[in-house]
Amino acid sequence: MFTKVIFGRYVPIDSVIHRLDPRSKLVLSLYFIVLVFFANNWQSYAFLAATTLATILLTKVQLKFFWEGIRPLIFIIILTVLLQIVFSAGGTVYWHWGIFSITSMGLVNGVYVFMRFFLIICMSTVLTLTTPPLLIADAVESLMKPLLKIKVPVYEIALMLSIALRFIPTLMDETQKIMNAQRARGVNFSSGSLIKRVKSIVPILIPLFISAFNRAEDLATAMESRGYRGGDHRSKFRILKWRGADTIACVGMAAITAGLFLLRLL
Amino acid sequence: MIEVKNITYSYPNSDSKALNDLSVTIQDQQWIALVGHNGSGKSTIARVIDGLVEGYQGEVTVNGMPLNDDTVWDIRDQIGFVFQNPDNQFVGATVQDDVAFGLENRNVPRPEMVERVQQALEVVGMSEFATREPSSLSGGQKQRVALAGAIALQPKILILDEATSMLDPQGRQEMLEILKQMKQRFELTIIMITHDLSETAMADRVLLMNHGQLVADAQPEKLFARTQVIKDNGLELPYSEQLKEQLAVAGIDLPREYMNEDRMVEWLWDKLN
Amino acid sequence: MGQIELNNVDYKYQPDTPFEATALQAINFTVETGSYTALIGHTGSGKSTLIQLIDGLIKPTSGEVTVVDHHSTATSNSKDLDQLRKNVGIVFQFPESQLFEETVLKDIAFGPKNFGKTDAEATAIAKKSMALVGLTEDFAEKSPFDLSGGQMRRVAIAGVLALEPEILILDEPTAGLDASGQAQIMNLFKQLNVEQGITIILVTHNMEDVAKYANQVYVLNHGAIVKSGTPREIFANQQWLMENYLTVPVTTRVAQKLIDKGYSFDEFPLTVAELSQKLIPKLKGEQ
Ligand SMILES: Nc1ncnc2c1ncn2[C@@H]1O[C@H](COP(=O)(O)OP(=O)(O)OP(=O)(O)O)[C@@H](O)[C@H]1O
Ligand SMILES: Nc1ncnc2c1ncn2[C@@H]1O[C@H](COP(=O)(O)OP(=O)(O)OP(=O)(O)O)[C@@H](O)[C@H]1O
Ligand SMILES: [Mg+2]
Ligand SMILES: [Mg+2]
Repeated sequence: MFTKVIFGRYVPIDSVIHRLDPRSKLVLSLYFIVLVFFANNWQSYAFLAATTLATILLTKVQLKFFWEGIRPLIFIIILTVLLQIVFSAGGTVYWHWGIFSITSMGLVNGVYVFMRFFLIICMSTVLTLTTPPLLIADAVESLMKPLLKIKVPVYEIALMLSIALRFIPTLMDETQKIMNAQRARGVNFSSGSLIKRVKSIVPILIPLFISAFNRAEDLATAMESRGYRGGDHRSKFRILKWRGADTIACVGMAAITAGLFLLRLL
Repeated sequence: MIEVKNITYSYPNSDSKALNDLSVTIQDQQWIALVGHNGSGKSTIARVIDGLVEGYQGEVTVNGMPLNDDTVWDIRDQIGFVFQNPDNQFVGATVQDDVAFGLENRNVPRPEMVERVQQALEVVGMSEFATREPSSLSGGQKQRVALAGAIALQPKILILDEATSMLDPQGRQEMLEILKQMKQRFELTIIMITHDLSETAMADRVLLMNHGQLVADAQPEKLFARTQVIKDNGLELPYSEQLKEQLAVAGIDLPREYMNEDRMVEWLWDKLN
Repeated sequence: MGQIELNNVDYKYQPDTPFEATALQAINFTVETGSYTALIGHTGSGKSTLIQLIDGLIKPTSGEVTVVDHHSTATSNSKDLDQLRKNVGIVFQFPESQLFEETVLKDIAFGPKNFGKTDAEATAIAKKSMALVGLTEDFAEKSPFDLSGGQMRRVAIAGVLALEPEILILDEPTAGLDASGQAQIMNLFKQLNVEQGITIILVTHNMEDVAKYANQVYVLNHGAIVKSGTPREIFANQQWLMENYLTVPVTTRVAQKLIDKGYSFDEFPLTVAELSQKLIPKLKGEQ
């Protein structure tokens, strides 16, 4: 019933950002990610960082959550940054060993790469913390609608996506239950040799697979009994509404773009 | 009216008969309780009536319409189905989305849909949970939502396959109360599958199944008096019959007919004085 | 000092997050060796959480859990928790979802092997457990997935009994079974309790079972223990039980109706057998 993973998960509170249309949130976050790659000096990075911070504050979510959202990725970021530092040349050389060197250019590049990662993760975290997964699915459906013309089964894909999302907590809960049952029968997931640990996954995977299969069968029966036949002869209960705030958000993003390109000229 | 005629069916991967030449007629606005031990064929016959099973012998007619590939969707429009496990029947990601699912399938225009969703949630007393995610509800609340999803379609027939078996006593009691009210208000025919004989007391008729066949079809009180039949089919005797059985062993003279709890108390009190 | 002892235990799910939920607070709980304890309470009252603490599947947020002579506290590591598990077997709700081996016998032998038994020993124990739950030998080589629901339930229960636990915890073990299946399984547990002295903790919504089998009851309400005592003490106050979202056994209800009419019992009956025993002499005397 409850998931252990909470970081990067929707936080049900109310804020300006929460109330935005998921389509504008999805498109604007993707747009922002592209925008980050256009920053080329410390002023433009600082500017983007400031806008990101402002957005985060607007979500009213505790800063700790953003940190926790980034933490699992920190290792990859640091590795990339280190590689960037030791392999790029140019400027003053501070340290040198074989093909490795630390130069002023390298350091600067490292900081930029770090900033890029950081900003992208922050913005995607803003999206997932403020938008229920279902609404993201809706937004995808709405944005993919033009693809209906080339016979992409957009409605089916969207329904599949939203059912999958709806079943994630159920299956995680199920996994927890099965793990508990097998731990109670003496399976140890946290110690022993690698082979032993890999083996200990079997008693989880088989029951989980069977349970998922049974659930899917039950769900298919339930859907059929409730009259689901697929296709587009269906009306929609949930409709997305574009509001003033969404227009303002877009204008805001345009302003950020303008600001960024001005700062690039410095 | 539901007419089931000479249905025989085996699951594709099994060689025993899940249903064996089963015939039964159910009148409009009857409350039917369907009982029998595990594997007696209760779920299978319920699924046959809803057109969810293929490849059986025999005939099913629902409100005058013979069930076949052309009519199955029309027939399903008249039947609401609530299953045992509340977790496996949720399609929507929030309560109101889920209740709306059946209406979306029938292409109901949105304004009407919104109204019917609200109404259905009100009937089951779940209005304030409209925007909650199903995973944050208790089992009893989930089943009420499933009931709302069925009732929003304004069916004539409601089938419940052990819909209360995963609930606590309070959740069960609430479900039964809601069902009673709904039956009155919407003039429903109810088919309720259950393992709990005490839940059958409010039915008009109890159908007792064994080995894919009907072994008894009677009013609850009449069936409860047939203690041997109940025991032979793996069910538990109703409370007053259990008590009578114990008293009979001690050689006490007892009335033959079934007494419900209150009548049993009356009788005891008379005797004790 | 009981065999199981919970001392001022709190448990929170996902502490320090917006999803934090207090499931148990200030729990004091004692179970003596060889007793049969029932744990009752409304849905979400914390019953399943409590038994997971006893089996070391989770550790308390504060307070101390003691099982035989192993302890778990907020600072315990997974080694300590493993120790708790040695003496305890749990039959979870719908335990058939833990089956995974190719044959019934292998599945039942899985637990003992994990706890260090040799293949031969484990197989011998598995055969014994099969007999205990009433599965004949010809089931041994069948796939557990080809069985009926009731049979799968038995295999799962045999898999837990094969751990030869001193303490057996049951979380609604008969849900979904028909009356005769329920009676058989509940009688099996009682038999294990009486004949082998296995301590039993039963989580249930079925008050008839509590009245029939338990000798000690704990009532949970919103994560706190609100009452404990013998079934007779617990069921004496119908009004109070209703307030705690619980019901009484039918016998108690019937007895209460007789009392309301003016009859009096020297001791409150809980089961059909008890009620009839008390009534028979009176009914006969009048005749
Ligand atoms: N999907 C299936 N494949 C093969 N056999 C099945 C399947 N479902 C049910 N059966 C078998 O058909 C028979 C009737 O099953 P059914 O599910 O109708 O029983 P039931 O009365 O609903 O039992 P329960 O009380 O356990 O729900 C049983 O023997 C069962 O094993
Ligand atoms: N994994 C989890 N994460 C967060 N909260 C949880 C989790 N599991 C249970 N809870 C909450 O803890 C409380 C106690 O739950 P628990 O499962 O122990 O209740 P229960 O008495 O066993 O209920 P039931 O009779 O429905 O089985 C409930 O409020 C529940 O919502
Ligand atoms: Mg069934
Ligand atoms: Mg529980």
